[in-house]
Formats: sequence, structure tokens, C-alpha cells
Amino acid sequence: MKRFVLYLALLSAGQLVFAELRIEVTEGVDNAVRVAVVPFAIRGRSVPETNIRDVVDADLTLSGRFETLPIGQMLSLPSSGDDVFQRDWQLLKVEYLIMGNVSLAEDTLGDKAVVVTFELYNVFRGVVEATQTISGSREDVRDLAHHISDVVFEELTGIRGVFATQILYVTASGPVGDRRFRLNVADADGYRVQTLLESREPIMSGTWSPTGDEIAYVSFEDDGRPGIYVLDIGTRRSKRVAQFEGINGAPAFSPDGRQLAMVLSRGDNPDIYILNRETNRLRRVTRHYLTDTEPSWTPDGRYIVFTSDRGGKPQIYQVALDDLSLERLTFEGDYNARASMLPGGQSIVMVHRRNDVFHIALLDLIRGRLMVLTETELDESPSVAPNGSMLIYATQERAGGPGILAAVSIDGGVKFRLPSSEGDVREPAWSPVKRKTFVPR
Amino acid sequence: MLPAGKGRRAKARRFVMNAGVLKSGDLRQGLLNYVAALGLSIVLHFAVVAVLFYNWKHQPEIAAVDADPYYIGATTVTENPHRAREQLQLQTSEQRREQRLSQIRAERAAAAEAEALRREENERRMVAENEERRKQLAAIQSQLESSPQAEPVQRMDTPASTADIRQGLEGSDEQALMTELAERQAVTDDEKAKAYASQIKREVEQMWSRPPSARNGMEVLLQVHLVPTGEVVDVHLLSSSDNDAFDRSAIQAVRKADRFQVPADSQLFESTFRVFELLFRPEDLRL
Repeated sequence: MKRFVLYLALLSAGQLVFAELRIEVTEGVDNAVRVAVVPFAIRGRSVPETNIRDVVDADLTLSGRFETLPIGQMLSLPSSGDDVFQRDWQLLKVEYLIMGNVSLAEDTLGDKAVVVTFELYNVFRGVVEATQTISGSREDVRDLAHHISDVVFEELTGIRGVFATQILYVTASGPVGDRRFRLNVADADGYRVQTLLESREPIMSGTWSPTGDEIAYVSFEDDGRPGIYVLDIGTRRSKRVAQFEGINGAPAFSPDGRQLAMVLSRGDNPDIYILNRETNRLRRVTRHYLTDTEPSWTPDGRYIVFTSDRGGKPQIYQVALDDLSLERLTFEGDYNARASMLPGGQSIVMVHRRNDVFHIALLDLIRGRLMVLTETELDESPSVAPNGSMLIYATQERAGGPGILAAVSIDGGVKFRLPSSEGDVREPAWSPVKRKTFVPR
Repeated sequence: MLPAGKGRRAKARRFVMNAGVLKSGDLRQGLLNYVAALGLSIVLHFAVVAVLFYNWKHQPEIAAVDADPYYIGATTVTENPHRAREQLQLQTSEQRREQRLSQIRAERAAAAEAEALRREENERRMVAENEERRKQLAAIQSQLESSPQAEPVQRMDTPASTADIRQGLEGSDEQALMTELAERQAVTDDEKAKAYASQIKREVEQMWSRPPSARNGMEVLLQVHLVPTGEVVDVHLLSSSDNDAFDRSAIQAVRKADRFQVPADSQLFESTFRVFELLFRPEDLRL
């Protein structure tokens, strides 16, 4: 719908003067912003093994919001705003430059530290929009690069970058009967995969604690009986926190990390419980003869959103933790499940069935609007990035094919897949915090 | 084998002899050529020198210089560089207006003339018809000789004279004509400005890449300064959306557009496009 409004009276023969034109722009193309990540100048002899420039370039490209210029097309390789010939870059339609230098310095302990200075330069205005100097050890080069990507992303989009975060997921590989299940964690760009846990029994429902140093999961390692465990990432030690009769599943940390919501059947039908991790006391939150499952906390920690069959079909409900009052949230469609609330608390993402196909959908709780975000089939387990603008989910490349991970932006504009070489990939969980943070000097 | 070798030797000797003969003749010829060339070159040199001297002789002698050196008198004038063009444009537009006016006037006059003619024709025809009828009536009357009232139906309503028509036309329509012309002019200016404005809007839209933090209803108001060639010289933020990335995306869109098409009519440019406001308010976002 093209609408064109001229606010002020334009020209009429008599009143030519003082009429200032106002043009209203209501649409945009939302093209990717063109940026150039210039190879960083190297000061000194020892070159860090990982090329910072390439990591930043890949990060920005993967975000879908930026289009990067290949090095081959660069007419010059400046390392600071003073060396930039604006016209060169304007001709290449590059809007921003990311450039800087890398050097090695001795830190306080006498170890070699990588020191990176970078600038975000606005080609059209001819000014440096952001600059920082950060340092880290040689092993931190990737983290330093992700930090640069985060700063650039936040500066240009107004949203916190998630390049320095990690993704937790479960893989299953090997022939039937001799399957290996792994709980893996990788950088958000898919690099630096670490296996936290390996088992012949299924591992399920990996989830992060709010501080990102613990992971809760469900395992069948104890004679095939399901139990809920909490793994300390630092020590790599697991501790069983719940193993009741029947179903033990779907753990979810409260926003303060002190409580753990879970689904227990205790020999009956599954209901939602909350385990206080300090007192080890269990509180029952829902009570119904049909299944209640998949609890997730609202950002304020006052409600739990869950899936229930109590209406005949799976729908999303919300229970207030102070008085256990219930509210049904979804009414559209006959299958809505696996809900989690976005950081603002105004909308939820969930699995939604439409025309017998499972999609990831966003429900705006204030306006009551449902928006299907994905075009893939059999989508499951959406997990929202800590900045609330992306979500990762599991899907299948083709019907009956191996599970893969895919990501989509909350506005539906950016979609990408993360193909895996590890067989079936399931149940991704986006880490709430960065792997490493750096304080600019 | 032998005779062949002998023959070859003989041929060689003859060749040498021939060469000797040729050589002596060549020498004489060469000497002659040389002398001729030398002579020609000397003559040419003299000719060049002569030409030079000839020119020097004819160099104008230094004349007494006038007391006043050549200068350009410069005085400070508050002259609008576009004045001439404007004036020209004004003149041509005046002319055009006059032309159009006279054209319309002529058209109207012609129409009035035609109308008058038509009416006259009508009148004449009517008169003729009446005459005919009267004649017929008279004939009938004379035939019957019954009715005393021989006078037939007279010309019923006489149309106004042609002069009257023309008078009325000119009195009432001159003003209407002027206002109509002014209106037409205003409409074209207005339309022109709108056309340029919508072009600017389109160009900015094409350049506007909104950040993912943009939401429907956010507003940024910019003031854009152009030079008459259409280049953007300045962009001011008049009111912010409180989202830096969103503000920057709007400013960047204008900066990227770099140059807009603006009307050549400098009056229109000055009044509308030298400084204008751009309001960015997304309405088509999904969030």
C-alpha cells in the first residue's frame, strides 16, 4: 500500500514562500547493510592463528542483516579512519568499515596477550561510530572476534549481538541398536564443538541455567529410568536432582536460578512441579487428570507457561505462582506446544500446527496476533536467543531425513540452516550468556 | 660436372665486370645528385632566413600606450545568479501566458463569431421561413378572402444582436479567464512539486535499510538541505525515535541517496526543495 502524504500545503500560486515540504517515508526495502571488514593490520611478528577479520565477516554475514565486501574488491586496506578514502568506499556502496590492528603484548603475568583495536567507521558521514581496544589470551582470539561482531551489531541494529553465545544440542549417531547420544555445546557460529556428555541411553531436554554455568537435562543412564540431572560446566560433574516413579522430564531453571520447574508423573498423569534447589522441596503447581508438560518461566519469574491437554487438544496455558490461577493463552489452531516467552514478556514462540504441518509461530499476547515464522516441516523445540531477536529450532532437511538445526529471526526476515555432520541433531538451547566477555581498555 | 663449374666461374667474372661498370656510372650520377641536393638545401636555408628577416621587419613598432590600462570594473552587486534565468523564465512564462490568453481569447472570439453567425443564419432562415409562411398565409387569405386579420404571426422573439453577444462575452469572461489561467498554473506547480517529492520518497525508500530493532510507529524527523543541483549537503535530526540505530538508518538512507532530482525551476526549488523535512515512520514492518 503506497501512501504518500504531503503534510504542508505545497504550492499554490499565491503562497509560495515559507512552505516547507515534508515527505513521509513509510516503507523500506530492508536490504542488508553493506559493510566491509578490512583485514586487520598486524603489529609485530607473531600472528594469531585465527584470522579475526574472517570470523567477524562470517558472523555479520550469518546474521542476515549485513552484506560484506570480499577482500578482492577492496581498493585499499585502511586500519584506521585517518587512512580512509571515503569516495572509494562510497563507489563500492559500502556504508560501514570495520578495521583495526592486532598486536601481541605481555600481560601482567608475563604471558603473551593479543591486543585488538578496532573501529566502526561510517563511510557516508566520515566518522568513527565506535572504537574499542580489547585484549585476551591466544586461545581467546575467536572470542575477541565475536566481541567485535557483537559491538558492531549492537551499534548498527540497536539489538544486542549474540555472536559470543553458545548453543547446546543433542546428537544421536550410529546404527540402530548401537546409538550414541551426545550433549554438545558449540559457538553460535557452529565452531568449537565440545561434547559435555556421551551415553548409550537417550539424553533429552538440555537447558541452561540463567548464569550459563549449569545445564539441566534428562537422562536414562540409570537402568533406562528417566532422571533429571544438573551438570556443572566448570567441573563437568553431574548431579541427579530428581528421579521419581514414572515420568521425570522437561526441566527449566527459574530466572533467578534458584528453582527448577519440571514435569513429574509420580505414577499418575504428568503435572508441573517446582523444585526449590536450596531446600530441595517440591511444590506441585498444576493438578489435572490430563497431561501438563513443557513448563517455561516468564521473564519476571511470576508465571509458568506450559502445554496442557485439558481442553481436549494441546494448548498453551499460564499459571500464576502466587495463587495458582490459570489462564489459557492460545486459541488458534488445534495444536500449540512448547511455548517460551520472549524477554519483553509480550509474546511467546511455540510449535503450531497448521494444515497438518508443524511450524514455529510467534504469538503476540497483546494484540492477539499469530505469525508463523518458518516454512520448514516438523519443526520442534524453539529456543530464543538472549537478545530476543532470533530463535533456533530443530527440523528435518527432508521428510524422514536426519534432524538439523535452523534459525529464524523473530520478524521472520532472516532464516538460515546449520547443517550438521553428526547425524541427528535435536533440541537446541541457546545459551543465555556470552562464552567470554571483555572489558574495553 | 666440370663444364658446369666452369660456366659458373665465367658467370661470376662477368658479374664482377658488370659491377665495375655499374660502379663508375653510379659515382658520376651520385656526384650530380649530391651537388643538386646541396644547392637546393642552401637555397632553402636562404629562403628560411629571408622569411625570418622579412617577418622581423614587419613586426609592429611599439606604439604609445594609452594612459588607462585595460581593466574590468567590478562593483559589488547583490545579484542572484539565477535572476537572469528566472527573469527569462518569467518572461517566457509571461509570454506563454499571454499567448495562451490570446489563444483562449481568440478561441472564444471565434466561438462567439461562429455563434453569432449561426444565430444570424437562424434569424435569416427564420425570417425567410416567416416570410414564406406569411406569403403562404397571404395566398391562402387572398384565396379565401374570409379573415380580416391578414397580419400573420410576426417574428416572435428576436435574438440579441451579435454586438450585444460579443460585449457580454468580453465583460464577464475576461476575469474568469484570468482566474482559470492562474489556477491552471498553480495546479501544474503543485503537481510538479508532488511529482518530485514522490520521486525523492521513492529513492529514500530504496535506500532505507531498517534495523531489526525498528518497530511500526517509530518516528524520525529529518531536515534535508539540498543545493540546486540536487545534492544533499546537510541532514539534521529534528526529532529522534530514541533508537540510535533507527535514527542512523534514516540519516544513512538520505546520505546514501546522495543526490535527488529537483525541479530546474529555481523558484520552485527555492520554495520547496532547498530545505525540506523527511518523516520516517515505518508502517509495513511485521512487528
